[in-house]
Amino acid sequence: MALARLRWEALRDPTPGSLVTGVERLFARGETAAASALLERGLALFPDYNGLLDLARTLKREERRVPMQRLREALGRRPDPGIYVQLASLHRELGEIPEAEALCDEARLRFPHDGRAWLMLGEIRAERFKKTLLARDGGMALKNLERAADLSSEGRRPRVLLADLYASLGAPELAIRHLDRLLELDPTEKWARALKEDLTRMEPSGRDIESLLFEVERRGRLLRTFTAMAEAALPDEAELRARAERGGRALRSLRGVRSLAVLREGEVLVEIGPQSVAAFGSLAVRLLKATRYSARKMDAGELRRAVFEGPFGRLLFAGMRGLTVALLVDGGFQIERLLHQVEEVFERASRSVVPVEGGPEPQTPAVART
Amino acid sequence: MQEILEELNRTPGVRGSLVSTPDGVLATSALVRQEDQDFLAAMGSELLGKTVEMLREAGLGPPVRAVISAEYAKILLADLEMGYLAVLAEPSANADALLLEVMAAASRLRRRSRIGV
Repeated sequence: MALARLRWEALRDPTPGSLVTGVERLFARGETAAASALLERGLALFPDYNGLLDLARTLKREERRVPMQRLREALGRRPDPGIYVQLASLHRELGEIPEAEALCDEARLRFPHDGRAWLMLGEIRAERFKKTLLARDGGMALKNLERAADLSSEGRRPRVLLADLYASLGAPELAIRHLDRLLELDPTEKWARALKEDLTRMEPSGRDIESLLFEVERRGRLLRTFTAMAEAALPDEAELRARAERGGRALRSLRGVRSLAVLREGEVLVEIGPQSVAAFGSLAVRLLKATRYSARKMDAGELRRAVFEGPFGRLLFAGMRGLTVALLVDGGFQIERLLHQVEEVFERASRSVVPVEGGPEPQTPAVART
Repeated sequence: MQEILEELNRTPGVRGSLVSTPDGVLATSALVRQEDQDFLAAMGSELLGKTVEMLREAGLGPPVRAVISAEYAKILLADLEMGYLAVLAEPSANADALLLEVMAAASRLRRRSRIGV
């Protein structure tokens, strides 16, 4: 009953904050399954709220704690390349990429002739390259995948990734080399045949791979789009603008807000007063672009939040899938609290939420029952 | 300086730290992954440089510190007058708790550099 009440309290008038509290309380009581179920409902309502996303990571980490501990102990007893990769793969699932990379690095050093760690490092960098388009990520992906392919003469995965990467960089001759090997291993690979036909019609690049990588970084796009990227659904334009409008208006009422803008990539969707800085939106766009680029270059991945602080107060950015809120606020608030508040207010206002029906019957006070 | 950085690195959630000159040349580093240091030094300096320029143009003063939270790491930058301090931390580390340690270390580094001069 207490469990049902906790869940009902969190869902009767759901806000990002009430959901976080509900999940935390269930989790603290050891009710991991109920906490996960409530979290899933919460993420369905507020998919971009960082507080809920952080909790999802914590819960996932908790679920993996025991198996990861066992793997660590096994590694302590007898280092094995397979166990290194298993543990790295769990870290990768949790989004702990530096930990996954560190384990693969160690495995590569100890077992340089086992291809699995090379493959995982290649996969991680290839995945990152799709997002960052940085020459450094692409170069590391190619180096690790080539080594993985050399070490595993019958390995399919490194060759699939290499063919895809080389094709996307505009190096058809290198992609075809791997496609040929894939077709030798399995002549029925239809996609490999189709891609090869496609690439055969292209002119060879005649350039070294490093210059192609830097060309992609400079242009900010690949020559050939990755299938997964092309399939990614684009958010509905009108809905995005309406969300930006509603969320921006709600943030305006926060204490200490001096300037405010809601951005999408390089565009100001909403700029709402009170204005203390002329062209705040344009400043926010330029600063966000520079910060995002630096985070990628510093190998930290995609930017989520940023705060710049000085005598002017605090200039903060909070990203919520597809949109970024930029605020100039007075100093003196705690950063974490302020960011959570901004994200909660924005998420709550920008989405219309219907309370969940079917909660437990409200308990009638004992006096009324008699 | 190295001592101060190593002490800072003992803060829970901190992966490493470095001091760089305003133009991005590494002065001292206490980073676990050596390959991170040149990128962190150069990009931290570039970002702070651009930020100073943009905020000045907008009529705001220069930033004293910055917290960048990204997918795989949190990066804290603090102005040291003669350069800046960059700290690499876990993405889940609490920014407020880290900032207290970073500002204390920055203040000690500033004092040390003045004495050194």
